[in-house]
Amino acid sequence: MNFMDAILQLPGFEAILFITHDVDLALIYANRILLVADGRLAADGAPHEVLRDFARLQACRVVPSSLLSLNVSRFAQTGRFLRAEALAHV
Amino acid sequence: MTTSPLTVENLSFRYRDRKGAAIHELSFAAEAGEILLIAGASGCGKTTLIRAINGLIPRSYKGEVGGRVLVFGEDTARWKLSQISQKIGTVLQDPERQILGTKVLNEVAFGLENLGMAREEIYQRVDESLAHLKIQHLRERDTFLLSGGEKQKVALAGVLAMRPSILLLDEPLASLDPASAGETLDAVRALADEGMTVLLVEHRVEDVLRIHPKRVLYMSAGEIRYLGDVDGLSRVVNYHEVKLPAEQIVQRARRDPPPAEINVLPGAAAQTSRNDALVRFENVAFGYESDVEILHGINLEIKRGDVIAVLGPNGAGKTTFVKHAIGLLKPKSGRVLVNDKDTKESSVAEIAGTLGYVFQSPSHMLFAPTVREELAFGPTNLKHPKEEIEKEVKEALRIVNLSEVEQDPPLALSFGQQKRVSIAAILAMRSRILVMDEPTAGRIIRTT
Repeated sequence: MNFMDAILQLPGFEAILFITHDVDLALIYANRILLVADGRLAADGAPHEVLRDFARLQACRVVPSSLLSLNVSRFAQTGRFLRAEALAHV
Repeated sequence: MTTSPLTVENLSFRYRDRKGAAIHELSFAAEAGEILLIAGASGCGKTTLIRAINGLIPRSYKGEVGGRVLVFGEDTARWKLSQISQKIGTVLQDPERQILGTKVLNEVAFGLENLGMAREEIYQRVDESLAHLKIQHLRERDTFLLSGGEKQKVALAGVLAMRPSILLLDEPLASLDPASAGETLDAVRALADEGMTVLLVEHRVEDVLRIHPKRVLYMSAGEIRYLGDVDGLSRVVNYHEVKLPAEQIVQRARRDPPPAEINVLPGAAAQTSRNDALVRFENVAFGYESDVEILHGINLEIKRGDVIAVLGPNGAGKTTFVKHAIGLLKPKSGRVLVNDKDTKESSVAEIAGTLGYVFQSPSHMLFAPTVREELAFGPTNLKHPKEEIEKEVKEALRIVNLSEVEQDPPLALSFGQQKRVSIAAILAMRSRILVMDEPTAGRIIRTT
C-alpha cells in the first residue's frame, strides 16, 4: 500500500500537517494548502482554490505538475482534485 | 576499441545477515555524456547498486558479492576508496549524512584536502564547483544553517570538486523544491553535455524526463526489468512505483479497477466534544537575529480533520513555521497556542502529546540502540503506564510493518525503514496531530 494512503487511514490522529515540495502529494492528500513565501502566508485554502492560481504558484517558486494541470482542466467535471488513477475512471 | 567509462558485469550482492540477494546478476554499460535514469520502487535495489558501484559495497557494507564493476575497463575490486572517489562521485539522498564540514568552503574542499592537494588548487576547484551550481553566495556560510536544498547542492559541489568522470546521484531531488530541483537537473544536464557519465536514481521520473535521459534502467526486486529508451518505459513500468506523467498514468489506469476510496483521518470524526482549534497562531513573527525576520504576521488555526500541506520554496520559512507549532521555536512576537496554552509556558513533552514531529532526515531523530527502545522513549517521557507503553509499541510496529526489526538498531535500517520507525515513534506517543517534513521518501509500505 502507498505510504500516504496508510498514514491518512491510521487510527488516532485528528489532524495531519506535512511540509512538501511535491505538488501532487499536496493535491491528492491535503484538504487545505498553506502556501508560504518569504516568511508570509501567501495563501491558505482548499487545494482547488490555492492550486488553481498558476501565476501565484510560479511567484512562490511552486511549479505546476502534469497532474495538477490535468486536474484543473477537468475540475468542472470532477468537482475535486483526484489522483491520476482515479481520473482515469471519471 | 573504445572502453565505456562504466561497465557492470553480472553484479550481485547479498547483505550479510539477510536471506535474499538485494541485487541479482545486473549487467549494463554507461557511456560518456550519457544520463542513465535508474527507476524503481523503494527497496528495488537501486541504492544497493549505487553502493556496489562506488565501492561502499563491500568495503563498508559486508556481504556476498558476485560479478564485477569496471571503470574504463579496469576492475575496481582492488582499488582504494580514495582512488574510486576520484573517478566516481556520489551524492546521497539524505544530504545530512553527507555533509561533515561546518563551513560550506571546508565542506566542498574536504575531498581535495584528503588528497593532499595544494591550497591554491583547492580554492580554484572549490570556486569552480560553486560557480557551476550557481551557489557562490553560500561559500562562507555555516552548513547547519542551510536549507535541505542548499545542503544538497553543497554536497554535489563537494563531489564535482573531485572532477569525477562518473556521477552517481541517489534521489537527489528528494529534498529540493521544484524550482531548485529544476536548477539541479539543468546542472546535471550541463555536466553530461561536458562528457560526464551520469547515473541518476529517481522515482520522480516525470521531472527527470525534462532533461532527456538517453536511457532508463527500471529495476524491480533486485533485477533489471527494462533497459532502453524513455518511450518504452511507460509500457513496462508499474505506475504505482514510479511517477510517470499524469496523462500516461490515466491511459494505463483505465484498464485497471478504480482505486479504493480512502477513509481519511478516522480518528478526527470520533472526537467532536472538544474545542475545534488544536493549534492557534496569533500574529506570529520570528527571526534568529534581531533585525532579520524569517516569519511575519502568521495567523491561522489548525482544526480537527485538517490535512494540511505546507508548500513553498526552500528557505521560505516552512520548517520555521512548523517548529513554532511543535514548540521547538518560540515566537519573537505574537503567540502560538497548543490546546489553548501558550507554547512559551508549555514543556516540549506537553506539546508532544498533541503534536508529533517526523523530521525530514530520520537520522536526526533516531538514537536508541533498538527500534523497540526508540518507540518506548516518547511514551515513557509522557509518563504513560508501563503496560500501556508495551501495547503502544507493539501496535505502532504492527501498523508500519516493522515488527520483524524490533530488536535492530534503527540506524542500521534503510532510509525508508527509518522513516517508518520515526512515524511509529509518533504513533506510540498517541500524539493527536502528525507533523511530517517531506513525507515522500520510502513511498511503499509492504502489506503482508
